[in-house]
Amino acid sequence: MKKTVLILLCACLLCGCGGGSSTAKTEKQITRACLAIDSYDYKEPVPVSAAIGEDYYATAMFAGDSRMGCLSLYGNHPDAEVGYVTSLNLLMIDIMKADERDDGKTLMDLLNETDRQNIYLMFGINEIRNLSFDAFAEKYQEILTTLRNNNPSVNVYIILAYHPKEISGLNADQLNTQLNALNTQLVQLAVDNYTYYLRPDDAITDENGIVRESYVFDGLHMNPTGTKAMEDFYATHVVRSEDYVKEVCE
Amino acid sequence: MLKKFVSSICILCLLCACSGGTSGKEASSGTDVKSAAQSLVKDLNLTDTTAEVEDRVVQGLFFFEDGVVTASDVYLANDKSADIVGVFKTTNIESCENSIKTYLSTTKQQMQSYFPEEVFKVDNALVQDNGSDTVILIICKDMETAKTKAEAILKG
Repeated sequence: MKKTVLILLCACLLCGCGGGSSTAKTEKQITRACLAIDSYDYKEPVPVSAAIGEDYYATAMFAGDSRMGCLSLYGNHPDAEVGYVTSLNLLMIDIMKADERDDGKTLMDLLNETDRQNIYLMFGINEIRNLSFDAFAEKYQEILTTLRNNNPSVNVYIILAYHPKEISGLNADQLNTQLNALNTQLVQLAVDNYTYYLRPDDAITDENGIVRESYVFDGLHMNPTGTKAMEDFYATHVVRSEDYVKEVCE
Repeated sequence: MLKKFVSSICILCLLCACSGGTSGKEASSGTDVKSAAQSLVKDLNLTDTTAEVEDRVVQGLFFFEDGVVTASDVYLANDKSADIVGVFKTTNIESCENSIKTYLSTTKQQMQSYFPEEVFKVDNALVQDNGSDTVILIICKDMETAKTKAEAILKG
């Protein structure tokens, strides 16, 4: 017995020595260290960029509530993947079936399955009457974590809520307060997750900051003209990592 | 000495197991709401069109005041309807029902925009309690059966 233990001990020591030589080898191979420095300011909305080409849409998925449905109904880019749920409460994203599908898949199923590199998310308008956005933000965080776990290099664009003409049950002041609270949470999620966020207001709202009447058919959902305006906005607000990430080598 | 130490540890473990009984009680109260909700879903033929939601989702939908709901089980529609079955154990019926009323008001506004045909169902939602610690919420097509079944559960 003692002999066996002794032999095992020797074997372990020998292995340990072998491991040492391999470590030494690795150290020798490293001749310089490089560091990727990301200068993108995640606290700011995505700035205007050069317009993307049509091939970009084959890499993009647009997911959201009924506001995102306009891309499916009136969109001009057939290669874009669009998933949406009318009347979606984000807490139910893995329960409610996605619109315009017969397979019973939820939007979370679609987000889990997609291999698209650029994912656009538009959630929150159905929670706008909420007393707090904490549970909403927690669920949103869970989705962002899932997307990043599924694809560590995925680019996620969080789309802030634009100001609709009205929301039943809320007066103008209440709507402003709720929109500010929602968008503050969305920006915080973007900052916390080093994720991009889009503020579409300049592209689609009037001088009062409310969505242009000619862009919507019910004060909230985009008509074909509004859809085109949103598409143009997406096309000219893309982050190209090469513009921001620089590799510095010693 | 060692024997004494081991027996002390054993006694401590037993005590811990007993105190676990308290949380077991909560669990058993949770099981009550669970079986009640399950039977309602089955009796109302909502098995295929609703799904059970997690506790944190329940709180995110109803915004109950802290400590008001001690156990709950909620099934929500996975289609575009307003259907819901919820059974809540509560320490404060009035507060619990107020939160449910707020939920119903919000749901109604939501349905008015997207699925107006559901508004009638929301208007006729059942919110019933047993006068002490349980509240049942149901929105579905068959409100007559819902009322009968809810009453039976609340009478216990």
